Amino acid sequence: MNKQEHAMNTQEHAMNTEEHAMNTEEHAMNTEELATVHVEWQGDLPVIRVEGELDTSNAERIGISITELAGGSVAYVVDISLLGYLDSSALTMLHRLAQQPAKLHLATQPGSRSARLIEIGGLDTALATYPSREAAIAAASG
Amino acid sequence: MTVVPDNRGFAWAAPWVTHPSLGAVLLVVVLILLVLLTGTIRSHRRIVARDTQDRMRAEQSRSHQIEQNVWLRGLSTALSRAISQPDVAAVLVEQGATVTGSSTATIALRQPGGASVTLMSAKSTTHNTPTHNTPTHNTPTHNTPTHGTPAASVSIPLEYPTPVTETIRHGKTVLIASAGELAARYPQLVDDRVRNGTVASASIPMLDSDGEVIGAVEFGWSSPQSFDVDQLVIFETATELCARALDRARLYELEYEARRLAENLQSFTTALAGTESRADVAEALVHGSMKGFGADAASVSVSTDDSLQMLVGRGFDEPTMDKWRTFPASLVSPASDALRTRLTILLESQADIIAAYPNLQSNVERTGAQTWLALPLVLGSEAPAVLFAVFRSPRSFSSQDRSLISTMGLQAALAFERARLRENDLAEAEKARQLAAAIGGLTAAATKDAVSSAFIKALPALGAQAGALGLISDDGSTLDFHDDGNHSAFYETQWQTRPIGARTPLVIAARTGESVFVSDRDELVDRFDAAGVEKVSDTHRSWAALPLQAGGRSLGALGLSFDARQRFDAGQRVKLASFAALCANALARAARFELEHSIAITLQSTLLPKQLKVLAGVELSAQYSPGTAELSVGGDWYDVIELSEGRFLLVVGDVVGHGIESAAAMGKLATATRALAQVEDAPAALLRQLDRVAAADPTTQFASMAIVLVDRQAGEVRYSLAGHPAPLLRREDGSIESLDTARSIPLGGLTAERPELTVPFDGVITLLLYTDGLTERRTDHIDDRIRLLQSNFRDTDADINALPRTMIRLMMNGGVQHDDIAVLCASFTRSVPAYLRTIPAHTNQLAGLRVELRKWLLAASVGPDDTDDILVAVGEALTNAIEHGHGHDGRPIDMRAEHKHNLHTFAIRDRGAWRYPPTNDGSRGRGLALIHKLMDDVSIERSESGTTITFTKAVEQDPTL
Repeated sequence: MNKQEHAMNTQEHAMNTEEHAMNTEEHAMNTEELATVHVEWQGDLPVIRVEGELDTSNAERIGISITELAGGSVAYVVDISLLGYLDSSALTMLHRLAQQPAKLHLATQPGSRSARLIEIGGLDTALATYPSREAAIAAASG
Repeated sequence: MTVVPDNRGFAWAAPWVTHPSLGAVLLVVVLILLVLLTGTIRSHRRIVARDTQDRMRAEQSRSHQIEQNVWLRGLSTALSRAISQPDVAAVLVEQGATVTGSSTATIALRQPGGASVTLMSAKSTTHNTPTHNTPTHNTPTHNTPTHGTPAASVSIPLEYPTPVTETIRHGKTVLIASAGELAARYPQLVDDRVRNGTVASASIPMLDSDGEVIGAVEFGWSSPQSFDVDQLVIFETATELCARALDRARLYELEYEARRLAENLQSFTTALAGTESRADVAEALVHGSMKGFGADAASVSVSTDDSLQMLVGRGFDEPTMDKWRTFPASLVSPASDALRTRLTILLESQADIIAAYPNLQSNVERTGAQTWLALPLVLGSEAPAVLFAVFRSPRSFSSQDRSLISTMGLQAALAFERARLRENDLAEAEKARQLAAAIGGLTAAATKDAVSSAFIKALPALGAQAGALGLISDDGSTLDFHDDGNHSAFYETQWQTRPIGARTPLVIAARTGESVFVSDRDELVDRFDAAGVEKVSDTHRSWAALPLQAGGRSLGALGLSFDARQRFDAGQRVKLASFAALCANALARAARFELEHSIAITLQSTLLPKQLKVLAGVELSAQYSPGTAELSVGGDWYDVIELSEGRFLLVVGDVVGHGIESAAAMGKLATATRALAQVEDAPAALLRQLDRVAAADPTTQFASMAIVLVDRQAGEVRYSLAGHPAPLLRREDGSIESLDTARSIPLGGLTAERPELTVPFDGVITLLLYTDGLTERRTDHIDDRIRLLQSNFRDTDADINALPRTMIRLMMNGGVQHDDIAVLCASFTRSVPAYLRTIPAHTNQLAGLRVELRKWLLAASVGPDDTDDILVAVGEALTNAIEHGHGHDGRPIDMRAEHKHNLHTFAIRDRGAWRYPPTNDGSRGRGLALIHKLMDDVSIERSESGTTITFTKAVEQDPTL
């Protein structure tokens, strides 16, 4: 995450902490918007991009969304290089995806948050990761 | 007798002078007529004729007398100008030739003792030089002024037969009229006289006023003479004139010699007058003997116990100097003999020297000494020094010389004694000065060590070589020796302590209050416990033990050890007792000082914070160091006053004066500062409040203070100084800033302006506050000391806990710390307040909390990578709490984030028990594993009320933030 994004997020969520604590409804809504999923078809290859933040509040649902989008394909690409935050819930979700029949090709930028966390979480061997979206597409197409 | 004719008579007589033979004929005629007339003198008839004859005879006689008188007058006038014997001879031959036609005139003088005759002849301007081909020995020409023709001078034995010696021996005129007569009477002289053209001679004895024969005058002619009565009268008259002239010349010479000697003596006396030391006197004496007597080498030696020690030596070669610089008095030598006998030794020839000192023969021959003089400097029955002079050419000493030498010896002896007394005076003056300095030291001494040190300094002045200070122990059972390393020489100090009942000098003096004097070692063994005496060095001969009494109480005793045997006369006893009394007073005073000092230290330490308050995120340390100078304790303090989270006051102050009262005043100000800080924490405003306190209390007035308000969250320090040294601020990059701008006068001025300045900071900051004892040093300029303090503070890598101690050590640098010192150090970073949040146990809380935490971490200068790691770890912990602690029940979960410098601590507490332990089931177990991997220390604490997970992270400060 670069500083600009960091600053943006700070701005976006700038609010009184007290207000924050009291207004749980608003938080729920924000949580809904915490991450977004985009899909793009390269022929019959779904290339899915996840942006935003993944934590225990949304990881499972995002995982379901991805399965819905790509479950029928032989292989697909998930690009998480623009993910601003992820935690062990996200790792668990990705691990589950990787165990399904549809072949997951994960695009992570080296040195990014997601790459670091996958490595620290010990999933770098369990997940097929590629250093770029293009590399992942090439692998999935082949 | 001198006859002075008038001018007329002189003119009338002139023809006779030019015709002496006619005069002689007339004289014979007159004599015949006188004989003839004697019988007819009664005849009246012949009275007229006789009168006529008388007149004629008188006229003839008168003219003859005038002729003689003219010549004699000329001789007399010329002789009157002669100031030496050769002068006399020269005059005689010239004048004599004029009248007598003689070619030579010789003056012969009997030498003292009468065994020889000195012949002085002068060369006539018109005749050949006479010589006496007789056995002679040369005599060095006297250094006598002459005018006129130079004289030749020879000596012949009185017994040698010549006309002149015969004249002297018999006191009768000897006339040699012709060569024939000479050959008949003195055949051995013929050849010589003929060759020199002296065939006739007249030798007339010279008598002194007592009629004693002192010599003779001899006139010589190159032609045979028929001596008549007239001639003889003239010769005799001339001889008498010569005798008188010689007398006068001798007086001249004596006078000249006397003047020369007087001048020598004068210059010697002048030289002596300028002498101050014995060496000076010796130098003057050596110089005088070389310049005044012409000695080639001279030395002055002093007699010591059993040897002679050369003070000054000049003109000797190196081997001689080596041998005689110091030599035993037992060695046979003129110097030691002269010293022993107190008699002058004068050896005027090498033979005499060798005869007297055969042991020194080789030395004499090597150096070519011809004359030795050893002159003792005698004063009464003492002869402290001796002059030894060497002459390498033969030197005979006249009686004047000898008298001068003895005068010089006496003068030198007097000067020597004067110099010795002066040297003694100087030594005594030095002792007096040392004693005065020691007494000054005693007066100023405020500690036992200072008294001891002053005592040791006084030892030379007391004539002692070692000393000991023994003090009676508190319980009175022992005498303990105060040892500062200087007291090893007194024999009792071989023990550190002695029972008060011991029979040793110091213990007895301390116990009884009586002085103990021990004159020698035997007495020491006889009178006291003998144990340990054998260990006493032989260099110590006498001892004194003096009681130390003050206020009627015995404090102990002073011991003195002397390397010269002491008589301990009354004067010395009084001096020693007075000194001991001074020491006792000083000790008693020191004891009072030390007591008050210790009370002040106790009071001070009770008033200073025992332990500095522990402030989260702030490292503090302080040091109070009492001064070693008497009563310097009290009045310096420091304090740390916490105001609120991340906000505190650092205070250092110094009350005027020292001692118990100052310590109490310090306590008042410290308390007032604490109390007032609760209502007014801005430094300048707080100082104004304290001004009111100080104005009302003289003991606190003019106290100096430095107040620094630290606001870590704002990242600034505010300070104000009231007459106090400027605190130093060290930034993380090592730069030093002096907080010296906002300063004003000491406390107590009600109208004082109290400026205040705010200094922003970031990163790690170290503050150094101190009192002036740290920077003041009498010998150094204060600016240099401040610069030194700054560079020391910049360069030290001491840990905060050691920093105050280290700064004191660096600044004192082994020197004596007179004043007391307070140092307060604080190290901290700019801080954000701890982040405290309580959230309901819902996962939808996580994102919002991440936003807040991200902000907090940014404020705490945590970089993006560490921030992301922390956000994941905290997220995992919260997730565990929500899911396993509460099962999403919405009950509150507490979280706390705080940091101290770069160490961040996070704690997440739920109020439930985790329903199942997080295992590696691939989901939650992975979360805990992540926390472990991302954070430094992780601990989980489970209790009935809930589970708390705590972890820390040492973050890298991001310099760009």
